[in-house]
Amino acid sequence: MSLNAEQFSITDAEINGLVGVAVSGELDAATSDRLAAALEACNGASILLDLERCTFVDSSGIRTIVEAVRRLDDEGRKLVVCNVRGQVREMIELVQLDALDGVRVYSGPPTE
Amino acid sequence: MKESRPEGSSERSLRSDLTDPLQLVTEAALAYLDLDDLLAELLERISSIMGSDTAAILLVEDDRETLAARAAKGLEEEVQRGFRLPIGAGFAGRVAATREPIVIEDIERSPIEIVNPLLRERGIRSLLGVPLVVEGRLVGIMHIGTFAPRLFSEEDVGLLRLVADRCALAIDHARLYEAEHRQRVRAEALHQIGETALNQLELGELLNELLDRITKLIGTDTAAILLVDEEGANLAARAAKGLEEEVERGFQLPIGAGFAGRVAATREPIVIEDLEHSPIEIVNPVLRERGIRSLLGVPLVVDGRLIGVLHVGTLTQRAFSRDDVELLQLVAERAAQAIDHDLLVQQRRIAEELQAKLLPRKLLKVPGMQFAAQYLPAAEHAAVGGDWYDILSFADGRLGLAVGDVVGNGVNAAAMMGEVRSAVRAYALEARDPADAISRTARFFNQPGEAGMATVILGALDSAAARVTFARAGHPHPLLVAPNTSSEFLRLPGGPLIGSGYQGAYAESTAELPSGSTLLLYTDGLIERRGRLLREGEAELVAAAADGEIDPHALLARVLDRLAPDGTTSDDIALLAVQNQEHRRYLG
Repeated sequence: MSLNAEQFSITDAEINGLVGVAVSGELDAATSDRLAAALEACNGASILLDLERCTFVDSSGIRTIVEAVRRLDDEGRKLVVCNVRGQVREMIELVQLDALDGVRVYSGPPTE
Repeated sequence: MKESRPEGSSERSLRSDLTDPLQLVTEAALAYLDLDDLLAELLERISSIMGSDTAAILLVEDDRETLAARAAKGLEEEVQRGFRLPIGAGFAGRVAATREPIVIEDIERSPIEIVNPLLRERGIRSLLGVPLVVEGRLVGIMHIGTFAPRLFSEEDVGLLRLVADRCALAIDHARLYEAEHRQRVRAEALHQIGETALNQLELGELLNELLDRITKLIGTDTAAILLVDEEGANLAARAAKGLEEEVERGFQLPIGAGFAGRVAATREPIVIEDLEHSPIEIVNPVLRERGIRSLLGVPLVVDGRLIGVLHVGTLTQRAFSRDDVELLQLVAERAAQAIDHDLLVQQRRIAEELQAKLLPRKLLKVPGMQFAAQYLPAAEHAAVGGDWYDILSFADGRLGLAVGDVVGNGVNAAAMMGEVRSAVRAYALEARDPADAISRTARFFNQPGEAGMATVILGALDSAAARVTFARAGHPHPLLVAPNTSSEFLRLPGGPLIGSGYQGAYAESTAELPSGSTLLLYTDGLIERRGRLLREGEAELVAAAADGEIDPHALLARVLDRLAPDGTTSDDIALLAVQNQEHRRYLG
């Protein structure tokens, strides 16, 4: 777990005028608190979550994303999840993240 | 002051005078290896050689910028108070900065600011300070003082310089020895803290044992361990030595508040040298009631997770050194691992007990249908979770098959598992169909005050029609192992997981359960692995299940044998299989 925590990083992201955070590495029980904190710190009506370099997400990671969506939706804001690929895309599809209010999911870059 | 080496005849007489005193100093250096004993002895002898009332040694700190009082005679408080000053400031600082002797004939008319109030308090009138230098390195300074005014002569200066050179060498050796000794002591201490025998102790015993060892090691009057609660927002006092009321009163404070809270929030060591002048608000009244003067706190962190705070305290004022801080940090690292291990073992036991109480002990017997189910706890103690399987009834009499997985692990997950399981059972009893039951369950967990998330798959088995109607909330797709076709996943529509805030309807779909075929419901621990796709995990499951007619017990055994060899799994797994054995009734 410590190895994953070291490889994991969160950086600022900007795509197509949207601003937010990019996750790199494995998003799991050991790392998802850091994503929660980073998303909490973001301003703007729509927040970008770039998962291009996210290699793995487990249910803890999904919970963190869903909690962020719920919080933002309550505030009338939106989470734009983009560049979901591989296992990350499979997980997001399995839990039907895009069915929630307040979230947009793009397998590539966001087009809005 | 200019370089003033004694010369000519004074040098000769000085040498003859010096033979004995220097011998004394050298002997002292040889006789003691412990630095504090050595310094005390040196000062004693220097005072008598020089005829001074006071003598003190200040050593350069590791930062190379500060002098700290290390030994004193007639000025003992200087050491007790942990007097420090920057090199360059005040009398001692100036001696260190210039590396030259300085004589102050009368401190009341000193050209140099006297920073240390103790010198005046003690009534010192005259001072002589010399640097302690070894091979060009400044080790510290030494000064002597007299209560009566005295003009230190060049001979005095020369003599103290000679003595200082010997002392510096002796101090340097002793410091090296001290450093090695400290390393040994640390290694031994850490060995003790990390001793595997500790792992055999119950959490409470472990904490007390750790505190015992830590107070001895660091030499403090009190020690306490506060642990982060399940929600991660508060610290609760769990064990204390010398501060037992803290635990008895069930002291708690939010992370970020007070001394321990600040240590937790910053994850950095914090030293409070004098509680009465603490820059941080002291929230816990027990600390003051107990008369604690100085505190040192360090965070307890395991794999980047904050699990608590360890602090030690003294009833007399103590300036905890950088060494103290580093040692306590090292100890905390080991202690945190032992505590975490115990916490997880404890949680695992509770979670397993909950799990065992909540899982059905006996599966129903239904004509023509054969059930098998299994719960496999995670091998990693960290991952006892909230997976479950259940067999229940719908309003219309159909049997319900449920498998679910609460996100997270530990006691909280196991407790929530009980809630979700009950909600599904209750709503199924009143629902028309699985989608209705799942939608109601989702609404229940969307209420304010509910926290946590779970995936669930719920099937309504119509045994007469050999059909199962499903609703799926974020859960992995079931596998159908059929006698005449290859095994396949039932890729069901559905909706997001329970607790996600989703307010829409859940899609429903129906699958045939032909005679001889076996349906397998499972949790993600069976197929999810780091570094591979879910599809690859699914493919492995299909390969393990093989094709053809299979008894559900045999199917579970075969699947677990391949996907969780030796009964080990990194995430817990719940499995429920049902086979349509209708044809056997007629055959049998």
